[in-house]
Amino acid sequence: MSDGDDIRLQNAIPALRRYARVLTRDPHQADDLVQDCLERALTRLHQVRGRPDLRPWLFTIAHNLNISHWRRLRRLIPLVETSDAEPMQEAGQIPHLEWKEVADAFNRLSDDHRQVLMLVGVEGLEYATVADILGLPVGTVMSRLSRARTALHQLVDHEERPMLRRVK
Amino acid sequence: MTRPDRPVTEDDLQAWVDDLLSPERLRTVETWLDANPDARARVTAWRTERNLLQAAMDAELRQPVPARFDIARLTQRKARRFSLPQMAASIALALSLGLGSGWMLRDREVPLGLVSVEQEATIVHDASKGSTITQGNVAQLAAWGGRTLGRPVRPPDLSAAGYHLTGGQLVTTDHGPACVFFYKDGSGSRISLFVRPMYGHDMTAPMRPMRHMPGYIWAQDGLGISLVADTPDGDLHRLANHARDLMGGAG
Repeated sequence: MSDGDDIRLQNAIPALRRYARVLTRDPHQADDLVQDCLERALTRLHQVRGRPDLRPWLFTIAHNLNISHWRRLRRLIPLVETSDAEPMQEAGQIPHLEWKEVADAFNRLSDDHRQVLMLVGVEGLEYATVADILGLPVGTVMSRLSRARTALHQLVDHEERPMLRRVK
Repeated sequence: MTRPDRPVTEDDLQAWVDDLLSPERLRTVETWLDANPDARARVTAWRTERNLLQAAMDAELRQPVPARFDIARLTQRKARRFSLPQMAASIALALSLGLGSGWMLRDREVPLGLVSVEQEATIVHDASKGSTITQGNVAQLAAWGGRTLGRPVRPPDLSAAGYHLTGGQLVTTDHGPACVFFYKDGSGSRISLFVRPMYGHDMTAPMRPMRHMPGYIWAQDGLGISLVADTPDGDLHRLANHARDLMGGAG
């Protein structure tokens, strides 16, 4: 393994952690998933030698691991379910109120909607890449994206209304 | 087929939000949006929300990466251990070998009693490193353990000490079947609890530290038990005592 691959992998970890949090909704479980993902990635790094952006590859591994291991595990062992509304960011990290509104609304979306918004809107990946990660046809990604944006907008809109009234 | 002036679709609107339209197509879509102010309001709101979400979530990228995700360190660790299937095979082999060659035989003879529990627990703890989460059903495992050992074998609830159960595994040893349960705490520290019945030797034995691993070992009510950690931890003795008390209560 070359140092370049190592560095690219290391640099992708913050994005991988963030995606894992979207997948698991729990920071501890997310980091356990990241650990599994990195261990798997290290054994297969030769497959992506020289690829400039390792995110799609890592996200695919994380997505598949999450489906296969973690969902089953969470069903089997209720003890592990510690996902009590731990906020994704510390309040101080989002100084702007608008950010917080959108982030709160995002957290209330379904897993499918959060994933597609994350990969397309936040990571800025192309639709075909997202389709590969999620194992879906591009058409499904597009319709899911449209529904996710509609749902997010409705939640944000709904949350804003009380503020507008106060202004009146 | 992909004429720039073909009718504007929902997909075009998503691509407008994500700035993924070709320049020609963008002109067509912009013209259409000019004629459809409702649609323009909708996609503009989507784009605003997309950018706000991105800004909110980018805060996470600035969080420091924990040391456990240091690639150089992970690579070193990987080099030091076997792959999981190899490992499973080697445990089974090592544990079933009994007399013969192999690394069970550092002590030159198959040990008896608590000494053998210690060796088995060390092997199993090492073997499960990085094995992700075992897929075994812990409830089923405990039930099986109960039937085989003639008493309930429940993994003690160590959550008061910050450790949560992450899985379990049945393993074979050359002294018969054993259960091993895995725990993790919030910082990712891992411990394993190894349980197997004793046969004649050391049916009950006081707790003592293990020799080659950070861990404690004891026997209670005919069960040989060890609690093994990855790294030495000042609280391990207390945790082992806690586990022993809980298991005494369950038995």
